[in-house]
Amino acid sequence: MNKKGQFAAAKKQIYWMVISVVLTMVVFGFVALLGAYKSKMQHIPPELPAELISLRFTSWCFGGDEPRLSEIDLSKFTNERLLHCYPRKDKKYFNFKLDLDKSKKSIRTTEFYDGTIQKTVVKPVVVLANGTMYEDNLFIYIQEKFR
Amino acid sequence: MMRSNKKASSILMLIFELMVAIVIITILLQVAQKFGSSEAASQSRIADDLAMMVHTLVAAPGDAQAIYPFARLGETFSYKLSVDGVEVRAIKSQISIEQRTVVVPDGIELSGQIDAPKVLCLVKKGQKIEVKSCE
Repeated sequence: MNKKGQFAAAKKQIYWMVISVVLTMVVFGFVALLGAYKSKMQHIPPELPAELISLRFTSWCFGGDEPRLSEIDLSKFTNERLLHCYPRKDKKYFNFKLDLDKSKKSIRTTEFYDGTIQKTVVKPVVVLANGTMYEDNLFIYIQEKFR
Repeated sequence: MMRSNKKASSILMLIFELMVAIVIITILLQVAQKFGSSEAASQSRIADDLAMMVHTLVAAPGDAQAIYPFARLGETFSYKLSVDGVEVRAIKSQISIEQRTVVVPDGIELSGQIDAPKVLCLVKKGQKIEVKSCE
């Protein structure tokens, strides 16, 4: 092989080296682009599952002995009971803080921190306390991120 | 002699380049097909929906049943409820799995597995939520 031939072969090698890097980047870029588009199309706003989880935070969790819809027994409205109802194992899940407005009682999950509240759900409830019943509002504060 | 070698090598190079181009195009098409198929999208969406259905059923007072109204492709999956949450698996390619964590109250049990049901439903009886075929 003469000098011209050697130069041509070397040029091809450089060409293929550059092309292989470019093609790899194109393939990875394509995959990333499609992945991002797919997740954008299928995105479910986190408020929706959080609100569905929060449905249990009335009579199911804190109801009396014969629970009725939207009824809260004040003696059962405790942190222990909340953790029993929402035994969060994954740290990337939701944090909740529950406030009973008139009753001035507040409970929260262990990871709930003071700061950003992503969504607030307000539910009108009936509170049972010391044999009396009264109307109250249950404020459910939702956080997605963890400390 | 030198000229014929050069010609032969350039033909070989051309074949090599064509092969590389075909391989790259095949890879890109396969990736695009995988991401673009409605099966993958349906699988992910059904997993999300089932997880939300479990949350709703947990809060439902008493026993309840919820039918999942999938329009199509639902029959190509296998569904499983367990302590880990919801799992939707493509029957054809067993590798393709969509999982969602579901936090349920202590005492609530998630169970059941069903392959390719005609009508998919979740049934809550007492403290147990089960995935079933409700035909």
